[in-house]
Amino acid sequence: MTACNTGVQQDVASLPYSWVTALAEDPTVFKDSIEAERSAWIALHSNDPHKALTKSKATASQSTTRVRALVDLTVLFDDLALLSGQIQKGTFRDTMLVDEQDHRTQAAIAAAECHGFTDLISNAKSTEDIKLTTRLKAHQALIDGTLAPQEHLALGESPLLYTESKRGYDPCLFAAQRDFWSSQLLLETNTDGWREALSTIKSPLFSVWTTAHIPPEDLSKTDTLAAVGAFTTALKDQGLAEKQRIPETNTDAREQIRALTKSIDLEKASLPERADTTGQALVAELSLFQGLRQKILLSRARSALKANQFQAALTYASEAIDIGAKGVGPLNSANAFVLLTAARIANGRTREAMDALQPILNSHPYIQGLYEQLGDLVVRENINRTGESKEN
Amino acid sequence: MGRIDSKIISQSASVVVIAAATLIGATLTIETLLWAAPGDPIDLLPNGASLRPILEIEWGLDRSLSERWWDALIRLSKGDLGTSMSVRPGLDVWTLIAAPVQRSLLWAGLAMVTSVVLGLITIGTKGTIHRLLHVLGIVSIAPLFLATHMAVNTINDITFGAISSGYIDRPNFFALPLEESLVRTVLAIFLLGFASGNLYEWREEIIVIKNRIDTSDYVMATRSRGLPVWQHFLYNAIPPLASLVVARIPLYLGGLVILERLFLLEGAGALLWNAALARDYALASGLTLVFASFVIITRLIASLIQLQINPRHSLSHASNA
Amino acid sequence: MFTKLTQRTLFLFSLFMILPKTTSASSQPLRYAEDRAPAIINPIFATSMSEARINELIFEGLFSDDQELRVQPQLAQRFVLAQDKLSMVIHLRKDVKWHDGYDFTSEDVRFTIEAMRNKKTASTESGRVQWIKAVMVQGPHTVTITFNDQEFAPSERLQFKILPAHLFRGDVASRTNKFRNHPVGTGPMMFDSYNTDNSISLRKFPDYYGSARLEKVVMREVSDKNYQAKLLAYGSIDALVRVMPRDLSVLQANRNVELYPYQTNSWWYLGYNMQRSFAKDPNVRAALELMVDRHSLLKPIGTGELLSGPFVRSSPYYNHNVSTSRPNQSLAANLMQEAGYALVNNKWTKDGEPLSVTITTQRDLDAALEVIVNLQTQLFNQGITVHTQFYDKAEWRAKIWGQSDFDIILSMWSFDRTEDIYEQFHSTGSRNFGNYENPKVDTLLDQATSARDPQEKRSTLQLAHKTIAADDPMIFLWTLDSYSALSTKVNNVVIHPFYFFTWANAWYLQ
Repeated sequence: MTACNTGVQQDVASLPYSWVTALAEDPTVFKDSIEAERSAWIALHSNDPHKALTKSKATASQSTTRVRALVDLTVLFDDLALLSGQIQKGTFRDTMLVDEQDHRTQAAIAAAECHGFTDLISNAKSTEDIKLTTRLKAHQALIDGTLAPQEHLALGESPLLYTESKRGYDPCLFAAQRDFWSSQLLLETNTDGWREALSTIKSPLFSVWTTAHIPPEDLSKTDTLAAVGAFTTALKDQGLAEKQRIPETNTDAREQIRALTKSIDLEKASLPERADTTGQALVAELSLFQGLRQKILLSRARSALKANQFQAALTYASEAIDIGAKGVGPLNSANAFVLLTAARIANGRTREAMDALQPILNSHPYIQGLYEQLGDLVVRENINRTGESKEN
Repeated sequence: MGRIDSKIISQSASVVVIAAATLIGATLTIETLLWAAPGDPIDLLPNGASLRPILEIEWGLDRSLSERWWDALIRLSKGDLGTSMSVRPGLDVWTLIAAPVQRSLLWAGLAMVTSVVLGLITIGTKGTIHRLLHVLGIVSIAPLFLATHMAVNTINDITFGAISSGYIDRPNFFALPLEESLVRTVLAIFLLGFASGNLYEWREEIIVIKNRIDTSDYVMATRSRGLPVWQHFLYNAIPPLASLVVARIPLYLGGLVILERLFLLEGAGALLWNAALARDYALASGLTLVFASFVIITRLIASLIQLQINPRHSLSHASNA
Repeated sequence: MFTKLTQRTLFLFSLFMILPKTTSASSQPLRYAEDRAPAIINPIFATSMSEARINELIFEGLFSDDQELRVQPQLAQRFVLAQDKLSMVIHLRKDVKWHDGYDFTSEDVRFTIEAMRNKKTASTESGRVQWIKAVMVQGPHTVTITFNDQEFAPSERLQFKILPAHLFRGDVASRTNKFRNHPVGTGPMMFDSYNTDNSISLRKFPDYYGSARLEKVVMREVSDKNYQAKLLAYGSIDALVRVMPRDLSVLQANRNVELYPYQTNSWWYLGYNMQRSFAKDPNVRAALELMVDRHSLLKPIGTGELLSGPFVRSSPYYNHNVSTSRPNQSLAANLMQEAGYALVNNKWTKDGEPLSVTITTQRDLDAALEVIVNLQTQLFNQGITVHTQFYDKAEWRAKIWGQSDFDIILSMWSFDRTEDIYEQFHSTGSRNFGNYENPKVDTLLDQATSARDPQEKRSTLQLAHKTIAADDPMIFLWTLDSYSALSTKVNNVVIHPFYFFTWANAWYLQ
């Protein structure tokens, strides 16, 4: 399909020389480089950072895959925190259960954004408040480093979290886990910040970078770990990220995506001139270009969500996901489903948000509580409507 | 002269009777068929059950078959074909069918011309072309509609593949159902003129006519005088050809119902199909009536032509040709 | 013969290549495809989704969904709900014109509600106004509506489209009114023409009070679904309302096309007629379920997910604790034996009669033929003779909906976002063709209908899922992936999850 005429009118340069092309040109280097931690690399390629972590070597200083897994986990839980916040906001926005000025509304929104715990805890007045704040206290302890990470993880994976009190469901769980994984990343890499931690990574294989090496200049220009790779210098040089910002309209976002896709197609089409059949086959079999495209788009989607550009976020996330591939695997990361869910909620598409989240429910049982809360939101929104059913 | 007048009057009367019988028969048949088919247009509405009492009265479905049929005839006598029930609810049937009927009749007419021309070519040629047409004539007895439909799809797929792989730009392709496509229409007309025995029958009939004229006294006499015979030929071939046209019109119209479906042409045949599926009684009987009327009128014209050429010919005989 | 055919094919092919291409004008219309053209463009007689979709472009309601699916005023400007929640006063927009130039007034609102309620109109949408007690004109742009019961969010129910009173006489809107030849609304697009090729043309309404960017819209009927994806790929249409699952991968790979999820709440099933003697026995129903390999039935027709009950997997009501059963021949055989059947000549036989069932389906259900043929083979190999029957829509409605005259049906239900299964499974439900009856399920469905607490509603319906699944009134099959596809020429596309065109006034072609 690469030779298809595209709807994109402007001329687009091919993708910058990325690790994908480098790999195609010299597959043996690739094979050698993954040999030491083969199963961890396979897990990373399959978008399974949990598994990658268990399969990697014990310390980050010896293991690229371990650092990469820690980074991926941090970002995954950051995405989940983002989603959690959207659900929480959606619930309050759509139901108008209580006055927006009410301290409980503010508490819930603050909780969704995971800040201001200390105030919340001290302001707790009713039993309901105390139920909520008990968990927040635990998180605060975690963030403060006074709660053992194991305890916290157990807390997160415990189904009790949802069943013990649905109302007391903790929106801040994932933000706390993100903070845990990011602390772990710094701890294991013996660094002071995520930029420094990332610069210890030796291979950008299966990552968001459109370069053969992780470019330090980009790290210094990127605000958050979550936004890494969205608008890199390399993409900018090729005219694929000229704005360095999230476009305001859905149409601009779409235009940007079309240009990116075309550039990837061009790069893909140029492979036969550069690589032998083994290299080409490797790229095709591992769906490396698709994976790279998804990672760039997801990075933009999360940046858009954080910048409250919800339509653009929805466009990025919708275009990122591979609808043919079911569940998490090489073609779709859990982040893709999570961000699509968050973007749909942000755009008021709560029922469709469930469509997006459901496929990863089995592989990620710890999102059960989140999923249930989203379900409540969907039902609440439609409770006054009368139903319609049709055949065909 | 008086004898001829009275003959014409009595024959005209019988033509009218036959025409009326045809129309009545056609309406009765279609009404009965649709009545016998399970379900009615009210069933198609999602809240049909609750609307049934009102709509049955509005659409006259509460009445018996004979009453409905009688109503249709009364309406028809006033030139009113009624109102569509489910295909285009509320739209006057005349308005709805005018354009598609015109198109279909044009196609049927062109198809018939194709048959005649192919038939004439058959008898006028020798050698390979003659043999080829003979073979085609026999082949045409087989139901080729489906085979052609498949061929069309295959060509489409090949082209689609070629476009997708960047070998060619998008051609204005005949089998795209949405585009006014001359090629698709021409293919359908050609097929109708050719397939399901049409060419074969025409060819056989034309050969018989040719032989009859060839061996007739006046042609032989003309020939013996060394004069051209083609004028005699034409003059004498018209009456049998006209009867043949009349006899085969229903087959062409019937063929159109299938062809319009297969080639996605928007004609009366496709509309009749939709009307039957949607149990649109008014539309279906309206279309049937128009087709039946057309058949009657062509018969009449054919008879008049024959009468003009050969006054001994009887009108009613021609009508039954 | 084959060579000749090939030669002819090639000849025809070369002929097509030299035909002139269609030229593309700058004011190109947005061309979208429907399986079946709307029969009538009058919202109070709408029966199909294709009609609902085109109505969305031409007509407007008092209220409508905004892009975040929250109800917002459309023809209304603002409203005041009475303290007792038994009435509301609606102030209408004053800048609205009908497509024929007349002003939109409160009389139009009154007329529409009265006409929909009027039995003589026989509106297919009359159910939408049953909750309204009365409607009174208070001024040219003020109207009061009173309710039969308390309404907490009446604007949610006032989304039905408004008709122009000046084009009708009295409080009846008959189907045959001349309105049907030239529908008039207040929406961004106005009716232009019914065309001879069954297409319908709309053009921009110049006096629209809001903004509309599409110049022209053309609805094209493409009854052969196999062509639809190709037409889009060729550029002969710009939008395809529903993509056949088997075309999804091709369209996703096509750079000129973008996919949008649309109408995802649909599921397929095989439903028993519980009054047939074989289906009365729960063991037989359970055995048949174990004989059906749903996975291999689904595979040839597209991608989707298997189900264990009457909701799609992503529904908030889906009970994930109920697992989808897997084919199990030996267990099925045990159940058949328990039901008193014995294998005679490889046929399950009882009282000397081999078990033979007829599976009926609708002719226009996509891919049903493939499913039913494979199913026939599966069951035949396990000792059950299956006959098949294909009905057109009218026959289906009469025999299945009307008379419950069937053994087993293969069909599909689509739901809007409320996913209300009451009519399908309640013993008094109007769409319970199989005559399924379980007092416990009735109670649960009644509870769910009146529930106002989301969690209560969810747990009730999840329990209903479990209870229904245990009864096996149907073999729940799957939900198929459901997408719309639009050409990349169409920009700023946001699709309403049910009505599709609600926000099309912001779309534009490039």
